[in-house]
Amino acid sequence: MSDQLVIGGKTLNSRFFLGTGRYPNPFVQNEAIKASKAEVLTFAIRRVNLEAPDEDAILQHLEGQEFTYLPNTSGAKTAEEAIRIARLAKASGISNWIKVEISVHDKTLLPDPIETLKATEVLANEGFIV
Amino acid sequence: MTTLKINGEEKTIDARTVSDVVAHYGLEKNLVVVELDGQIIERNDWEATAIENGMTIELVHFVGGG
Repeated sequence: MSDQLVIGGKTLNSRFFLGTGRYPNPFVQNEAIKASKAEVLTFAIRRVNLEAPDEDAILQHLEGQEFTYLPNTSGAKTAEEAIRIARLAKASGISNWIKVEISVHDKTLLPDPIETLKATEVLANEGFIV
Repeated sequence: MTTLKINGEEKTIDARTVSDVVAHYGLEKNLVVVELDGQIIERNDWEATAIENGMTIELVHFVGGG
């Protein structure tokens, strides 16, 4: 029996989706990614820090490696905000996958199920893999 | 010179197009997405999209997260 996972027509050999936040430096991040054998990496979308434009730009540390990129809508408190963030992510051309994260509580980050459903319906209709 | 709100802050820079704004911050080679007055501007359209005083522009990119 194959243990492959198929999502949106994409076949994955690893079921591990790895986040890219909170590593102490890009070297540790890259080593963690290699050790995990994850094929899907998640990340956030944020304003460029205009004082240091290259700071936090995660993809520069992943050049030459192949992954399925899964942007998330962290920071969104409503479906409208999540949809906007998702569209920004898709406009980059890097992926049409999106992880809908809508939370009204900054500390717990518990998801808002109603807004999550609303955003999911809109984004799925726009061709996103949600 | 054009005065506009860039990532939430009012700035006056020497720029006439979206392309100029991106270049002002040295972001031409970066994977950055531009939203001008609430509309996403595709990279192919940066050069042709003029900016005017009072506009709002957001420059976003991908950062570490889960």
